[in-house]
Amino acid sequence: MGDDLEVWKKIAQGDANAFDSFYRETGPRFQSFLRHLVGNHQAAEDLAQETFTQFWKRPNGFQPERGTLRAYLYGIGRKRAAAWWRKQRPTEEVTEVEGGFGSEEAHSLVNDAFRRLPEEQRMLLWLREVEGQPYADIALTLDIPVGTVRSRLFTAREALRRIWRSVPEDARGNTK
Amino acid sequence: MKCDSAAEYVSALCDGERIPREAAEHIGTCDQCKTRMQDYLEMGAELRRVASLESPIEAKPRVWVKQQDFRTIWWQKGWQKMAIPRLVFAMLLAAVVGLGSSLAIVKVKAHEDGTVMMFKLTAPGVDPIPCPVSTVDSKYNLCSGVASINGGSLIYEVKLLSTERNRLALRVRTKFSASGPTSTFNERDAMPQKQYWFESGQTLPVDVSGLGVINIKGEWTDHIPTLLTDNHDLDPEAGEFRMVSPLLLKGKEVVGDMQGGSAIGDKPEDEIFIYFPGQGRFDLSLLPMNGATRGEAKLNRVTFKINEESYTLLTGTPITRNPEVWVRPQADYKPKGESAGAFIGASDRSHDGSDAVNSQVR
Repeated sequence: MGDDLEVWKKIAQGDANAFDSFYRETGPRFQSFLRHLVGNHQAAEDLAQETFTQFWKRPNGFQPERGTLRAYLYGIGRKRAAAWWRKQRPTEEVTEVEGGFGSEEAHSLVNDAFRRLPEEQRMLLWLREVEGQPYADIALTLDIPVGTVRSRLFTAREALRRIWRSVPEDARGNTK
Repeated sequence: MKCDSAAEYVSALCDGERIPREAAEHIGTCDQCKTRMQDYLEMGAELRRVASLESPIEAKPRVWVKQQDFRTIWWQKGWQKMAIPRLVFAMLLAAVVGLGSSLAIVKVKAHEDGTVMMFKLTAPGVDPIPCPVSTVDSKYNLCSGVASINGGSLIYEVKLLSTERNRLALRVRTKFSASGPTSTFNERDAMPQKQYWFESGQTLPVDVSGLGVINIKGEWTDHIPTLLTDNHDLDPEAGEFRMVSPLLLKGKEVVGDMQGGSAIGDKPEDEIFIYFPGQGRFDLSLLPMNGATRGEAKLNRVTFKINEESYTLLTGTPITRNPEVWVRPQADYKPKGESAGAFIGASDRSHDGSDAVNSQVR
């Protein structure tokens, strides 16, 4: 958090180099996170760029005592992704992401089950299992108490497990 | 403890969290809980494996424009639309100043760091009145002024009292005089006031006796903008690049004058090119380019060196928010055609000068 505070101070003072380092370090994973929220590569890139621009222009919303810069950034991204979804027409088809979770190599029963989960549960599991974020950061990103992160993560895991377990065991053993 | 009660702790244990002793004891001896934990771990590993197969993403190169240390020049909006004789108003101002009052059309000045709420006061029949307030610098936490509206005068004052997370506590004072500026600023303490909570993006209606409702809107910005008469904003937009009436100095000597010529690029990829007879052509960009030297951009000038010679491009307005401009000199450049005069233009970076848009020849 100490480092974050220093970085944020520089960003708040308009230090473009400090912000660019933060952008380069955080940007790729952040965009990947958004890609799984909106299911569309181009939309995720646009949202990521908009989020970084918003943060650069208005860095004052970050509160160091509440969590990391990364979690704060993800929180903004989550809200922007939610707004993006609200703007989509109900009939509009969202292009599936290429590579990774959508590719043939990635076909697995766990992955299929994951894609059938509600958005919030996917987000929780992604942040925890793939990003390895601590509970405090997830709490800041989702704007919920830390205790709620624990209980919702359990609920998400159970939901994933239920779907996965509904598949016969011999098929489950062969994840590919 | 039963499995149902321990299940949530199995999840927490997978995440390396500490769990109650009773739950830990149960999980260690319960096959059902051990199976659940094994499933969770397996699912997590599989999610990470699939995520690793994703195509790598690289951060797209961006230019992050930095705030400039602009000096604010803020004149009274009402002057050009004054409904009463200007002389009367000027005398009134002089009298007020003579009395040593703190009359100032706007007390907000530029400052170099911190954040700013850029308020805009809107009322029917007039352009929005900008009113920036700093949240970090107490010297500039107040914005006030006089605006000519419907033949009368609106005196306003917006003061920041405190901040709470993203909310601002404001004190707003207003007074409208239908017959012109009969009130002076040293009467502000006696003006009606109200306190409000305000958040960025909100529209705050304020009822002004004798005038009606004015709306106050506000958005965060990173500096107090440069403003001129009638609220014309001199600030370049983010990514904008402007050369207005450039003058080229080599050392202290003026070697090129493009008075009246201007070019504006509205995105970072745009280039501006200038040709001064005898000096050659200069391509300028906010982004690095081959063969270019780095110039320092500050307000309305760009300074750079070529072969140890110092050059300054001096212009009529602020040039960019970017702290640097890249300059590529072409001393041997000869313009096509018969024109030997100076010219300036802006072009997309994917084009060369011959395809330029917005060019002017003198």
